[in-house]
Amino acid sequence: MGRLTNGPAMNRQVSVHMAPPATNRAAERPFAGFGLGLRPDHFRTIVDTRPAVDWFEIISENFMVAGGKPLYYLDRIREEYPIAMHGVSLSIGGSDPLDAGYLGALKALADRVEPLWISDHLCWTGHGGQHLHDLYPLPYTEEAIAHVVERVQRVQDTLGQRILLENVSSYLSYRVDAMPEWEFLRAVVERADCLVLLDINNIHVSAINHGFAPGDYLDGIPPKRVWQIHLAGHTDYGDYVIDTHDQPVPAPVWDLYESTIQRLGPVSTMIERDDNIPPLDSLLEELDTARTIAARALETANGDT
Amino acid sequence: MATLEQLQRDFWAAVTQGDSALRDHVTTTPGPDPEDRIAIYANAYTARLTQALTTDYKRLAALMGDHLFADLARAYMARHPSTHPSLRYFGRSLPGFLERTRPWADEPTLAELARFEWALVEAFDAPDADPVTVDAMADVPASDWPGLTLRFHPTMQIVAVTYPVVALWRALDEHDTVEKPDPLDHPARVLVWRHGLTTRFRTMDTDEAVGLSAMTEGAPFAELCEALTEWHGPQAAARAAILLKTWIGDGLITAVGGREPPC
Repeated sequence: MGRLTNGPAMNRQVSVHMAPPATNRAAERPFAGFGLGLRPDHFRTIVDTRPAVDWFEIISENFMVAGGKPLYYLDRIREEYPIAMHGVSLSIGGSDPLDAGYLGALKALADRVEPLWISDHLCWTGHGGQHLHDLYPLPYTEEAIAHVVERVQRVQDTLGQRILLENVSSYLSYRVDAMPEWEFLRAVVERADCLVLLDINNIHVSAINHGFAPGDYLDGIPPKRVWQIHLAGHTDYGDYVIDTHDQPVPAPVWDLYESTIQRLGPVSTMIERDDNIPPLDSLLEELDTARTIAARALETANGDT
Repeated sequence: MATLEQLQRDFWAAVTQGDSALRDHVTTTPGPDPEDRIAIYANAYTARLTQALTTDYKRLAALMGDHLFADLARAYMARHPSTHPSLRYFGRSLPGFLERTRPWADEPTLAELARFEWALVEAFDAPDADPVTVDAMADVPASDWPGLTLRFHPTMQIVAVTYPVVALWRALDEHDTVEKPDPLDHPARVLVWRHGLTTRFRTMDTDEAVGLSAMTEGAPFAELCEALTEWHGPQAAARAAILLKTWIGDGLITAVGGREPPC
């Protein structure tokens, strides 16, 4: 898989001049293949064995450090693989001001990594200067859409590229909600002209926790803006499900992934494992399962890829 | 109607303080009650920050046991909530918190072990720098030696201890439970640094600790020799040469200079 180049600053104004015909820039979804989350447990094995992974995704914050092993292995692995950057602290929906120091560190890391793309979550993560280090749901309101859209545009201006926003799993909903989550997601990404990192596990988890049909979600998202897919596992607590990322990808998530690829066509896909991390070989097997399912989905798709 | 800012403030208060105002914002739907749904987030907050401390202070957690360490973690996160985008920095104030706050301050071993473990965390990802080799010293003319100054590796830290913290740390690495140790006969200093990608540490002899402290403050080599006469008399210069060779071998020195410290 060759390297993909990031476009220039892609706000609407620029894209009018940059895109050759009058097509929507979002139509140019690149396909990077099948990737894995890069975790310190696997640094050595990756450098020593150069496994058959098309790309890796890093947690950006884990590499916002001065030196030592994290940056050493990041540079070594970057020499061999494309890398996508995935952040957890942007707090794009937060009511605190955007953190200029954080954005500067993100930009500096992007300059070092030259990533496939940069993503974070459609959520908020802190309040009053405190970081809570969790991904909290936003209310699905016009006020929140306007708030997030304005901030996404400023972040994209700072980074000089469009960002991907990931749907989070959630365990509660708000009385002020005026629309379903997928309508909120669609409104944000279309108005801000950003992209989507679709987490299949999070759709599954939230569908159970809130009682919606995953198919409605898939029907409601803007297909061409989905540039990346996350697959992960979760833990079932009986009357609710928590997005723990400590288990293999389970059957219902594979099924949902298959129908996602049938609808969207090829999308860069990766497996996200954050806890109870197994040897790399077992993640490589899971990644082969993703390849097999994606290939099957494309064969059975309606030829609209 | 609740504004975004109000809703987030109430959510924050629910997660960090168990405040109940968020309840009025949350929909009642089939499945768990709103209270239980909020509790998922509140429990996750405490668990996640406790886990971050357990990772950075693994031996302290082992020494205290899960229950007492969890109590400490809750008290700490209430007093020192995370203010950095990365959890990597959340635990930075724990040694000071243990020193200042009872009941933990009554057991100085806890703060000392914590300070040592945090030095290891800092050494892990502090800036890189290339150490000098012994060959670099061969170029120094004999007349320049008295005025020689040193620059040390940016990962280097010196941790003052009154308990056998390094021995305790090693014991906790090998055994599930360890007796709390008696104080040392004399205070000591532990050197922590990163050599290449490997974090290293050792307890220094008193003469080395005094000499190293002087050199980190920019003292020239002649002053190192002078300081060492207290322990070594006429052999002080020989001991200074041995220490310098040790520091170079350990990858602790990144530059040598003249009267003014190298920069």
